[in-house]
Amino acid sequence: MVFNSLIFVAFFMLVVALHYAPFPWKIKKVNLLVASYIFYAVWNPPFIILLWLSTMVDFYMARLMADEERESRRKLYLVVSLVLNLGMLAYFKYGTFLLDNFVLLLSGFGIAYSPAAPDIILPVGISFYTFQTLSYTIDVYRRNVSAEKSFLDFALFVTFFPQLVAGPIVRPNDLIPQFKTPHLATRDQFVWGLGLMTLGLFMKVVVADNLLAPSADIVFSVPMPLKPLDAWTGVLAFSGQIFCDFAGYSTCAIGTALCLGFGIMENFRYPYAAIGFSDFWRRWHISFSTWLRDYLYIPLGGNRQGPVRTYANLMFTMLLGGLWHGASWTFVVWGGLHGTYLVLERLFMGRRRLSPAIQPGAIAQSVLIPGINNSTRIRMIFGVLLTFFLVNITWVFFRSPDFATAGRLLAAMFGLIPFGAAMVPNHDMVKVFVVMASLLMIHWMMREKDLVKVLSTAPRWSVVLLWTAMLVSLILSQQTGDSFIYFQF
Amino acid sequence: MNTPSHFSRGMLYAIAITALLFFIWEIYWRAQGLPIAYNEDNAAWANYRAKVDAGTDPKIVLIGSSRMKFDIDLATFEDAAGVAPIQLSLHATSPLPALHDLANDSLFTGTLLIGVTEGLFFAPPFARPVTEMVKRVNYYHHWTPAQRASFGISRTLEAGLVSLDQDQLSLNALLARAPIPLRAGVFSMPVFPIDWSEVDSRRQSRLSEKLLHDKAMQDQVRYVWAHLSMLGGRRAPAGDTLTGALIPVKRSIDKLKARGVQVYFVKAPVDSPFWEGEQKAFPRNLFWDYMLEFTQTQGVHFDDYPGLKKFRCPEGSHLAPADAVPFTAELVRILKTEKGWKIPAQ
Repeated sequence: MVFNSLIFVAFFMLVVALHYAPFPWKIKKVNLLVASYIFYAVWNPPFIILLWLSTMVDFYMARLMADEERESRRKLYLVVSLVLNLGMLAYFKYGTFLLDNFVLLLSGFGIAYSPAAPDIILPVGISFYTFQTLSYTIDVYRRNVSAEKSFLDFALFVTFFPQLVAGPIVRPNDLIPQFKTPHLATRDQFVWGLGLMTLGLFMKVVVADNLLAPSADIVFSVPMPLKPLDAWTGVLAFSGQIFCDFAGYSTCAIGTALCLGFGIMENFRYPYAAIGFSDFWRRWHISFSTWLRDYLYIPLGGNRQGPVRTYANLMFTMLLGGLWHGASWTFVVWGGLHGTYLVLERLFMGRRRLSPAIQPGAIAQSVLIPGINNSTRIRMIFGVLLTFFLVNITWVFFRSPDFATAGRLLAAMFGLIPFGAAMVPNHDMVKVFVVMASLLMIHWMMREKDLVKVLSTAPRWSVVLLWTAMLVSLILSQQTGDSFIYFQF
Repeated sequence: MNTPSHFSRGMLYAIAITALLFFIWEIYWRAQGLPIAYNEDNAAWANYRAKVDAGTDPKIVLIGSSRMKFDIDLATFEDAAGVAPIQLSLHATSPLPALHDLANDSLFTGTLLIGVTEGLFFAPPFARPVTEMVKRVNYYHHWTPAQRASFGISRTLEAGLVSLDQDQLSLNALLARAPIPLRAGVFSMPVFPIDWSEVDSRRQSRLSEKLLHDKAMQDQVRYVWAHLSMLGGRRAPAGDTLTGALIPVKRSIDKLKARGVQVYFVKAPVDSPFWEGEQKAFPRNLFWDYMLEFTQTQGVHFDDYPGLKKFRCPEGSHLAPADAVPFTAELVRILKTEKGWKIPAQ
């Protein structure tokens, strides 16, 4: 089930009605668990079994780990959990990819091998819930969290429907304790939750699906060289589309959970106003980047073993991060580019300390204090635009179905193709440039700010106007049911 | 979790104003005489595609573009044939993705009528007429229970609200009317007058009463066809390219025939100057006749039958609802008496 569907409206009303009915807390948690399974199963019912399997194995492995003092046994239980979770992920997500590359490798040695084409369907959200349950068993193994005694609370942690299929990837310590005591939203929390759901749906349905997706779809699907303007329009459109699609989902998830009285971490913090790539990854898919940091980068040694090892760790982490997004070498290149940017940024920062003008404190100052000197502001804007430009290059690999398309688009973007075709109509072009200019402006203005505080101090008429505009455009868009891009990851 | 101060009241005002604006919007379009229109989205197509696979009885399926939707009156067809046809045609699309899909569907038996508008039928694989139909086919094969349930709710709302007309009154449809000059050499879907046609819950399209009485609106729609015809004419394949395009068509038709499916091509009426334009871009002997011969399939061309070519198209490309009735009855008669069509037993 997706948030942007009419059936979700009916489902959510029923869930809210049951959650606020005078039942004991345990019954309410059972209701939420059953609702979460229904939420997942109405996409493809058989895959609910994978979710159950993951839940059962991780719950019992963690319990065994908690009761065991011998390190070798504890490690064994962890390995069982890792093998099951990563094994399912490897089979369902990377099975075809691994087989294709194996065949390619054999053909490199002159061995012709043509296996039957596997018909594997990717279970929606498997990457998200796998990472969420892995964080639990690893944390229990590290003794960072104690093994959960209540199967109901653990199952709800794995399955909680607002964030089940596309995150944010919640940590056990952030969610399980919330299930221990009755949670109901206050009136203000409930209405703010609805406000966030409206904002998230506006981003997804109106901006991503209606205004930007048509241009991105045209540009990334034509099998011919394009004019530079068309190539840039398509790439910028995808840049906005993926942000609004994914951040829209996260915002809906946070809003939905809040309506039920639960808090979920924020996942995006105006990433297109980032200055540099360390800053970008502190703002983009935060729950994923912090997961990679805590469960991959730091265990690899992080930055504690000298610069060369640090760069290798960074690169390895980002390459795997790329592969997490999809079973294709284009995603690996996407991750590799981000890794390269991070390494170069670190190299550059190591030799030459960041100019005082773009130290974090100065950034906050310049945004908050209009009187800051112009040259500082211009350098910051240059930093934002340069980062945004480089991010757009990476999106070419992320969205392209193959390297041929990516190469053709990059060549067109940099004017290397003299006779490209014009494909994007003026109407779509205007939409893309107006939306992207607005998006960049909003990210810049909100760079160091908090939405709650901004709305608290804004005149009431402006809040009414903004939410009315979003609600009206949502109704006008008349579009429901398109999947979120990150469902496929 | 922190919440903005005073947000609740602002949100309530926003909901109230939105409800009021929506009410005014609905009343306005009702006052303009706009009829209830059902969406022609992926789910609507998938809903009818699913009927092909429902049950084991043979079905009559129509695929093609808008001429099949306007010119074949479903109720008349059902009266004449005794079986309700399943309308899978879609405006401005090629029927080929649907043909290949049905050919690969072993559950489908019965009769298939394929509407032919050559400019759309022979559109290249990456062009909109093909990709739009491919989207529908793919959507059907991945149609989830949640999407089916949403479709049910959506249909209920569409049945009661005039303003839920995705083709004419959605955000993108309204933005497409913005006075922005077209980009030279780039295809843009032309903008139709808002109330030129209507679609009912069975996917029957009809020219509106307003269009039938409004010469200016007819001319406006003629301009759209002229624009599309010009684009279609430039893409006409020939020689080996044409044969290459027909090989998968024949392959699919052979698969269908092997299962006992009766397949017929249908060329629906078209008026001047578009008929002359189509003959020039797709000469009958090079396309229609060659296709029938190459695929070893029978066809009904309106120009061959006085009972089919006597009708005029008010906007050049589609029959008036009143003419679709005798046209359909005559088409069924020709299929039965001259083409040996045996109506599938239910």
